[in-house]
Amino acid sequence: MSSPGTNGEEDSSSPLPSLSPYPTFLRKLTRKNNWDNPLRDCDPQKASKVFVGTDNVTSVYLVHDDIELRRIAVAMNQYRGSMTEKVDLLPIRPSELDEIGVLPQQTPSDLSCNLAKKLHHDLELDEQAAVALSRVLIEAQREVTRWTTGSVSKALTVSREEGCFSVNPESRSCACGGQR
Amino acid sequence: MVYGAAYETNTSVPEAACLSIDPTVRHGFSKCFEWGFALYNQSTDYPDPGTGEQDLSKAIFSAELEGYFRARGNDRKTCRNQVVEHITQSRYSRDRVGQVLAAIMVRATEDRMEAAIDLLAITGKHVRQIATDAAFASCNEGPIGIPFIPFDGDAAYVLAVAAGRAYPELIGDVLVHATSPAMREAAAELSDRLAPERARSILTRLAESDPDQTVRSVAREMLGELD
Repeated sequence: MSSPGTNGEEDSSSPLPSLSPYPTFLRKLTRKNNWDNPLRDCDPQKASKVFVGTDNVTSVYLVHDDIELRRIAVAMNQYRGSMTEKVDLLPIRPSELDEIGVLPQQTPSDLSCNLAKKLHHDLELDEQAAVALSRVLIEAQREVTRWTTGSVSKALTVSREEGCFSVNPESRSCACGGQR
Repeated sequence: MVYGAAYETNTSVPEAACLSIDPTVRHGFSKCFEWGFALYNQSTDYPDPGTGEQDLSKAIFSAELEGYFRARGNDRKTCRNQVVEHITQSRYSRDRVGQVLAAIMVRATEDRMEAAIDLLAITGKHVRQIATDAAFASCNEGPIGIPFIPFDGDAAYVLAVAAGRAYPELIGDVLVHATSPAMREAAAELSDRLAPERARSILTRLAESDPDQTVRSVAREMLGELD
């Protein structure tokens, strides 16, 4: 499945980060080392901390290609102090959620981005499930993908041109197909 | 030892103190306070309520802060502005920043850390001073001068990132020399806000000789991003 409004074309403005193979869920991290250190130490208990959310609900986005990834990475900064904050993303494959028996629920996002609203999911993860998921990801040696300030700035320019609602509140339509 | 043990009401609202507020006054409180208060009302874990003005102010701020952490999207932005106003206009600004850090020490989810960074980064001079004090405090000293309170990990990281983001000159002058590894880790992470040569010199030093493995690793990674 390709991102709406892109017809599946490749983004020629690389090198922006990629998370292939798709589809993949993305968990945004605030302190990258909260994953990196337990990954290095093979400590799923400690790693599971990155999945702790309010009421055992963990927020993730499901992306299907590099273009969706780029749009989501930009939109994630909508309510931050700066739109160009670096973004650290931990990829989770759908099969890895299947493995621990967690079914993602599609729920609306708080972001204005039309695409983000469609791609947002909640994972119900209690402590045990969070540790199980961490174990699976550690076994896969899953690393965090960083969008540096430079990458985010570059992607932000594209999102502005596309009319993303998270970036431009005045926009009436977005290249992703969003209208308002 | 939990920071909150010495700073009793840092994350809990003394129920009696809040209920003692005149309802007409309470009606005027911010949305985030109302949310936070409702949240705490569901909890049975209240400490002894304080009776003085400072206790009440601390309790109100705790409720506002929890409301802010709980809010999403535009509501969070609105709450953030209200909480920042509370911090900057309070007579106890330093204590309020301490309460934010204490809330992170008690419960540091990714989302709360991000919210705390965004909040503290716009509180101005208070966060600057506290970050400077904390950077050179001994391991057993809290960022707001309360002794015997361990201060490291996520709260130290949050404080350092917020301060360094607001005042980039702190990155190379203060944070990189901090006794706390988490603050030095933040310095490495924030080095991309400095001129490339300055960043390279800081990162090289950290990568080669920092005593903490994590800091060395972050510095090496950031050096890679510079190249």
